[in-house]
Amino acid sequence: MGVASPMDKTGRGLYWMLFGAADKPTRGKLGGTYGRAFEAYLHNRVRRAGFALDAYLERPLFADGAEVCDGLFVDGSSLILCEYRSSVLRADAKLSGRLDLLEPDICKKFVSGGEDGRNGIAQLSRSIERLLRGEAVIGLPSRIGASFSP
Amino acid sequence: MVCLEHAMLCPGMSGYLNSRFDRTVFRKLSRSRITPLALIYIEHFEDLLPDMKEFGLALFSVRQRL
Repeated sequence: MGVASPMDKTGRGLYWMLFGAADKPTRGKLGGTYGRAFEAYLHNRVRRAGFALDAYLERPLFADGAEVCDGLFVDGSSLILCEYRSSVLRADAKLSGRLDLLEPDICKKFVSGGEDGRNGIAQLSRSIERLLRGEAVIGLPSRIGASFSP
Repeated sequence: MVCLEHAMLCPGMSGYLNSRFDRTVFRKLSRSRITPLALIYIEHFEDLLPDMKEFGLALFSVRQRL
């Protein structure tokens, strides 16, 4: 992240700095863009660590085009399914001590996903289920008796 | 799950998330081993990558149990 990392640690945070500077239409799209940048950064870090194309799949897809997860590590018959979550909890949810605010925010951002579709744990569960049913993943050899680590 | 929110590392969060990750449905489908869900902060993930590359993905499962 270069300059962005120290800025994030010493200031209000990169996301909130960009949010404050953006106009209203841009703010609406900022979360998705920030998430994609976060994902691309992690893909880049994994590649720079030396993982080959067949040892790490970026945004693997099922044959019908549905996304398996954000990143998939492959080691023999073992798979690690990764979800990259750039979402941050709302300040009032995490600092107010009110569970009725905190739990829905955690659920929306990490467990079940919001109105824009399934993500987080719900997506991992669905994808593991489809893998166990034997559905093929593009770029991944078929495997029997694999172990899965979400 | 790799997250950017440091507050997600608080004690009990991993247990809470795993309570929402129902593995019993998978046992009905296959004998494959499904490990519990691991939640990891981005900086820890970055630190772990060279070891994962060097020693293989089994290291990740070992660290999960620690």
